[in-house]
Amino acid sequence: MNQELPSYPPPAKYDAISIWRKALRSRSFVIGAVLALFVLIAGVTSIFWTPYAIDVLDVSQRLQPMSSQYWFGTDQYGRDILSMLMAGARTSIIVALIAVGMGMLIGVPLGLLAAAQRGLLEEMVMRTNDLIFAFPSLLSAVLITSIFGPGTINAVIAIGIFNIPVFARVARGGALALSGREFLLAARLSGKSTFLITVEHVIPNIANLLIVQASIQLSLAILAEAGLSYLGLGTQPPMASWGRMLYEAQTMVAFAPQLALYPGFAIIFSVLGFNLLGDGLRDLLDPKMRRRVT
Amino acid sequence: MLWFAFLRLIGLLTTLLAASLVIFVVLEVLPGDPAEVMLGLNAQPDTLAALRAELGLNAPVTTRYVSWILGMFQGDFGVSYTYSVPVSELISERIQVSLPLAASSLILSTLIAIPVGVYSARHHGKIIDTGIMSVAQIGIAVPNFWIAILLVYVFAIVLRILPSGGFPGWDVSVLGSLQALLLPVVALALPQASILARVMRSALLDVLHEDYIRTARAKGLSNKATLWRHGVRNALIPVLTILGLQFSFLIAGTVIIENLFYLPGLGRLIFQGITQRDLIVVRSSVMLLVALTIFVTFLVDIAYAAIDPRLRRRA
Repeated sequence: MNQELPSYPPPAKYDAISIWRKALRSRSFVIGAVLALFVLIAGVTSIFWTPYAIDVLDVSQRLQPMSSQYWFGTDQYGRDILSMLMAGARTSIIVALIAVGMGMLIGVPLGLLAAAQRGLLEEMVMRTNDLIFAFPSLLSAVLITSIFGPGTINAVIAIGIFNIPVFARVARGGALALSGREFLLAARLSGKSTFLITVEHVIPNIANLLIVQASIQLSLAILAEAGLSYLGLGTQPPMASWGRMLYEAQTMVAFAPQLALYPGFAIIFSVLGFNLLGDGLRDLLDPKMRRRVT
Repeated sequence: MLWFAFLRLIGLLTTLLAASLVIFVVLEVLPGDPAEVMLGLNAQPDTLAALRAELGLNAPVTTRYVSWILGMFQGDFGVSYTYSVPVSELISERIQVSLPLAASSLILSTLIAIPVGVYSARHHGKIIDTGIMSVAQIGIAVPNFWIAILLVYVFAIVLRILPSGGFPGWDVSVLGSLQALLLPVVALALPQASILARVMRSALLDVLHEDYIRTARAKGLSNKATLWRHGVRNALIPVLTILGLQFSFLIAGTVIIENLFYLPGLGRLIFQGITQRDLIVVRSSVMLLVALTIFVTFLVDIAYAAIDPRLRRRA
């Protein structure tokens, strides 16, 4: 694959206050952080409290308009939209966090191993990466969830698998870009093992790259979860999911188009949030990349 | 160049082989007994036995794999269990919907993205650039199936000028078929165009900092000629890479969009195959799409090397 190794800033010592000041001046970071935090709070709150129960159908209250009682109205089964959106935020966040976490936990060590060992092992890791990339992600997720049954856990696994090669690449690229740097040579001269050097020097120095990539992957995972749930292969009722809400709204779009609007806005809101957060973080953590970032 | 192409071709074949193994293991080995999967829990023992014999499941795993692969090379993709027609027939029928759909959205997104990206880069830092890039930033976050639902609402339900779904078939009505594809194409193209426009803009901005741009201006070339002949042309290289990557996203997108618009395409064939547990259809059509993705990646690699000679030596 023809990929450029990421350029790398000197291992600077960041002090917390100056980075925080810089962060507050970055528009992408502030807007992204606010959006992401908002979705996070909505999701966490829904664990303890939602305005109405989401698993109780009350047909007498179906398709209520916006009111002080139902802020966003109710759907065709009489469920409160606001409560559904909050529970949907929880689903999105949980699925995205676990799937991306899984990708990181497996992908980063593989990438570091490939960079440290080179040779045959590296070739094997990278070819496996190419193989996973060859499967259009959603197509394989559809395949996995349908063979092993639809549901949140299988959706997490299906999405997580496609995060592995992404993090393996970023970790390997970052580690290779560091190789030959003086501080790594010094560590080696002082007698440290490859493993210790990787843990003590390489990982802290590629953490920036990984954090930026993670926030982008989170937004992709939210989109993927919505897609799977829209097809009926992700989160199952009575749990709420934005994708599933869109699927249910689609049948009602002629009579109640507003039902399709809210979950869509929720998805855009959170995906935009994590994307902006990633852009902002990249600006902050990797000044050399700033010119390339849009 | 030839040696590079040859090495890439070897890589292509290995990836294809590995992909076919993965698909075979996921669909034939992991579920245990494919015949049981296809017939469901309440299957009669004699129907099960009959299906097993029909599918050749009594043969060892390796024989089944080899005969599947050899069959595909001869154009024999097996016979669909639910439709009782050869899978090759199904695929060639469905590809008449999916191919125009995917190709048109790729073309449409490029036609939108390149001028918009170039325009934005030329007005770098001005309000119009910030505005366009903000729209693109939001466009990336929009799921294509949500755009599709909104498009259906506006154009099929409120304005009633386009169908909300279904496909008449090219031999029945060419105009009707084009109309049926219009909304799906737009829904697929818009998010892709947002990504591509951003890549185009930042690639062009990168290129405009290069020395040869200054040289071109210094030798008396006009701003416009420099931009298009030296700037855009060089900036197209990263755009090409992203375009190749997007192909895979596009194929995934067709699974959802074809379902939403009830289009009888490959994506819907696979989705229905999966829900009806017709593993024979799924196996070969997934293999086909994966092979297509691998092939496009191969083509992009070759095109890349043809444009940029430095890459050939690295391989």
